[in-house]
Amino acid sequence: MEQILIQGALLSGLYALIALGFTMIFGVGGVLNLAHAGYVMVAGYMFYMATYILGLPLAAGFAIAISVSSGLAVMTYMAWVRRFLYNPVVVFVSTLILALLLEHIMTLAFFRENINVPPIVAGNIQILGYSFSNNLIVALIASWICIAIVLLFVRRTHMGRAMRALAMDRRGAIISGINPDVVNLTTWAISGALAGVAGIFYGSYTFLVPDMWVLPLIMSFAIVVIGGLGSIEGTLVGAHIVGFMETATVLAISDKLRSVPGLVIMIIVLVLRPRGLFGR
Amino acid sequence: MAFLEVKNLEAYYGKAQALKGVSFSVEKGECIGIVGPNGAGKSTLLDSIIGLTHWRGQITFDGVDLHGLPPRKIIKLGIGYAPERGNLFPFMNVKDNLLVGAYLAREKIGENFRAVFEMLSLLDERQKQQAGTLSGGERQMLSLGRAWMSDPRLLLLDEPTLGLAPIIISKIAVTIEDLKNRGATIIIAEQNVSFTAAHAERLYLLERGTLTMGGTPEELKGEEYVRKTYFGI
Repeated sequence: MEQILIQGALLSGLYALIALGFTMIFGVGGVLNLAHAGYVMVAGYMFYMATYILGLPLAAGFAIAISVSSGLAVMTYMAWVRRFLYNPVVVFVSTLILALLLEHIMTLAFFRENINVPPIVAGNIQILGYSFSNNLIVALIASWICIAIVLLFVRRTHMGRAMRALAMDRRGAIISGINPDVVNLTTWAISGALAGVAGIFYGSYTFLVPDMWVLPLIMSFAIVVIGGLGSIEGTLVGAHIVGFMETATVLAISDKLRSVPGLVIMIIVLVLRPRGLFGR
Repeated sequence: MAFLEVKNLEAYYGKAQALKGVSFSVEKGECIGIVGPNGAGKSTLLDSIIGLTHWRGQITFDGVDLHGLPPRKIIKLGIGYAPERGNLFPFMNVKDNLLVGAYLAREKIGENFRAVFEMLSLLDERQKQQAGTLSGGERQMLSLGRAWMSDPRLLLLDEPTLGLAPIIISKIAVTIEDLKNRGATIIIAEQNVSFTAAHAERLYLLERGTLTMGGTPEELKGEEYVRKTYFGI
């Protein structure tokens, strides 16, 4: 039980980080960016390349991975999505295609091999008699630092309030002097940066392979549906429901069934409360 | 040149022409009323001034041509808008709604907060309350307060009394008088002609997209058509 709680908390933090960027895009712009998990994958590779192939310091690896994923998100918005904000189906399909395109580019660059990324922080720690990797503990701390920064930003800054305003009433935001384009662009940049941090730790939590974006995408989707599309609080709760259920399934039944509980809960929520637990 | 000058304004609401050659002007410190029935084009007129519609003609504010300017630039020039439905942010508290209103006037947040809370003390008491849980009258006051937070020199009020109980309307009336005493220039678009006549120095009658009459409230009351149709006398 203790192991499920601790391991579940660690995994949930990582999932929350991935799903947070996903839900922010939907909350502010009303579109689903399926390429989000593709940025997670690309960031994992960029960090690996910078740190372990080019031998750059860890800080440089972080900076490169986060800059690339954030830059990719900004480019996705500027070059394509901003023209189709009023057509969510086009954005849904085209960002899925972009994720597949990113997968093919990474396959060309790194081949379709599993790459084991050395942990960012080596070693293990004993908690309540169970062993946990320091890497996952650092991932959890980093995730929650990022989540706290985003929450503070959204609640305490003018731009954060502008994001919430645009999500709640677009016309009200415009007549308050807010430029929706700038707010959307900022949201995509932050979302991409969150995907970058998540990619760095997710890559070292599992391994790098070009199709590693699929599971985080499915989990993000389940999390935001459970929590309520566009709700930050719902995303944090949804991430913990999915993270704990997945950990319990892996430890008690089988690793092969890890994504099943999250999807089952998602279907139950869709049937009983289609808006999600915190949906408006 | 007048503070706000509107000349031959034509605007469309969907495919229907909502405004047909509307012309009027507002002097600095003046309060004018645009009155008319539902669907006459009053909201489209205010939407056009703030930059929310595509229009033809000419609108100048303090000598600046507003044609082609996005709402944020028009707001920055000093026009504030309290729209008919409020367009508040329902899951934000009152204070955050007001802060969003100050998005382009951050250097004057403290000063404008004080002014809003002096005029609308209820908002001071409800700072932490979510806007979505406010009553209709309280929402109208918040909409007014949010518009004032943008530090406007011209305030556009769209149907400030729509659907409100008489006791709330009297509070809105006090606030409008307070705004006038602070030197605000105001355009009130209203169906409630009696209310508007009590506060505006000049009234314009807007019917089916055309300004059919204009003058002081007394002059309009002197017209039999207006007296019968809008004042019910």
